[in-house]
Amino acid sequence: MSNRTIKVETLTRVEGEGGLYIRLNGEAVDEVRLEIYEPPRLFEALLRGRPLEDTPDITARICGICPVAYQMSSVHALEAALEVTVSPEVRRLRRLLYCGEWIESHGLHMHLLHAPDFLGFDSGLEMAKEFPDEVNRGLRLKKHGNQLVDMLGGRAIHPINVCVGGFYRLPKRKELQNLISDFEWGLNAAVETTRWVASFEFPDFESTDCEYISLSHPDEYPMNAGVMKTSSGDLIEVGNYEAEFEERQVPHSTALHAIRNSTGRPYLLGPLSRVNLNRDKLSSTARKLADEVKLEPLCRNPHKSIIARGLEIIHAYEEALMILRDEPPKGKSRESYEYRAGEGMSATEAPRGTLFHRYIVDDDGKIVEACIIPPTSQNQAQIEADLKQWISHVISNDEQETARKCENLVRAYDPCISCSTHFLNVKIERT
Amino acid sequence: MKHHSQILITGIGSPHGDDQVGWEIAKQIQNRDSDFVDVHLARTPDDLLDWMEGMKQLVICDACQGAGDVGSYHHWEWPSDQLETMKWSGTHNISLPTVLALAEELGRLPTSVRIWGVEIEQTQAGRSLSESVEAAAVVVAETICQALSIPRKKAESHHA
Repeated sequence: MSNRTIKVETLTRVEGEGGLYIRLNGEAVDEVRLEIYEPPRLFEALLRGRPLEDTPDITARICGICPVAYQMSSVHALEAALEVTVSPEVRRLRRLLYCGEWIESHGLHMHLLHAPDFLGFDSGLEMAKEFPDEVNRGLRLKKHGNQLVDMLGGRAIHPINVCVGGFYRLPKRKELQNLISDFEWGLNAAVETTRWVASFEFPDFESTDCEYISLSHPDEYPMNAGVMKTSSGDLIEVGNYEAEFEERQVPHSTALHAIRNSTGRPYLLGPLSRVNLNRDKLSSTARKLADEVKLEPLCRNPHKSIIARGLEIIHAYEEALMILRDEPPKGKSRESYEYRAGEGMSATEAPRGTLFHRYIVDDDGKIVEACIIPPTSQNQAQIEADLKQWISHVISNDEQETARKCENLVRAYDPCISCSTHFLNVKIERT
Repeated sequence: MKHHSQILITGIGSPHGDDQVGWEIAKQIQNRDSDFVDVHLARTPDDLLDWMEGMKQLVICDACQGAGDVGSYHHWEWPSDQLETMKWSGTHNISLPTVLALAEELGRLPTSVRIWGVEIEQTQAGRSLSESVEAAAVVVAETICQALSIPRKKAESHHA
């Protein structure tokens, strides 16, 4: 077989714009590049000199799919800098907001973006002709997520009710209770969805050397707090994030790659990592489903991320229902604080993985320095490593088919390229 | 008594510059006798999927680019090949034509779907509508109201 280059010009069903370039030397893979050419968005520079109160609303603008995670990492980091502790009620409501975002993001990705790959369709639209009930279910799950974020965050996309110290306004009992019946339906639908995706035929593929990393918390499934846990058994304090994980510039991407300093190797964040490392903290229904569908205790098949997303939607519905049925929050909606110079950092779990924020603030409550490390940029190097391994499984003379299978793998990670710096093109080159 | 409307008017847009034009048209129609229509403001095209159930007519008002001079307005009956070639935006590639095609596959699409687009110039945060786009919004809202026989509010028509 001659040397060649395969390039997928437009990788669809991912959020953002980028490309995939593969150079082959006979059967050997010379080079794989996940090319992210979207211009840098410079949010960190934009924040400098602005009042710290602007930060949650500005960082939410980084992403239309996971704005809650950006708001949460930013308010938690700023609260750490200002030594503000929020009430348990506010903390629960923030987890409720997370549940909304996970339901919306995972529901959309599983049904309309990822499932078509397993069922042989080019798009969710094509799939809707033969699987209308499943597509309708996906749209309804997405709607539930949006409704929850709308109720608690003031609007479904780029919510505006989150502030340093708590919320601008607490929800009323009726607003919480209004969602219960839909969420009861949603929990059952999430169980059905997970059984459905677990029945897909998965490629026999394992990412053998991948290190899985996510937040971990002794009492809860990780969303908004914890320490970093790794599949190699390490525990890393969030305060050591930048010492442990190094961002590196690579010529073919406007998003920074990341490696673990101690190993010099890439790592993977996201739903599969979270489930791999925190399965015992999933809600009871999600745990039972994980056993029922026989998900491996340490699943190394990235294509099965769709099952992990299903388990997380079940968890999100179950936790959301618990909070919605509980006594409505009373007392003040937010803690007051005094400006003080300081530094604070936080990591929370966006749908696509751990999102780290660090801020330095001054005595006047202005942002002096901001550092934001999104999950997709951290996952890039691992995606490239997995692709390199995957290509040897799928390479054929049919370049279109090879490219399509490479796209399938990239979509399994649900990359949010807009967050990390937007389209993906795949090019395979044989020299 | 409010009778159940079977006409859905949707403005798609954002608060930024000329991207407000879809919302502006919808708001002007909402200020008429609202018994006759359901009016919703959408941020992304997929919002429409939530509101179509039981509707017989759907009118979509949106900003567009690539159809003519700034401030020109255009309308299409769905399905239309022209829509695919124009620039419409949508999260996760769910563009307006994709949403309408999806609604059709799922049996949710009203029998009549008419799309109005106003050619825009800028979508800068904090900017208001460009003069020619604002003028087009008034004409499009009036044309839709006349076509659907949507009356002015009683008080308004009384003083007129």
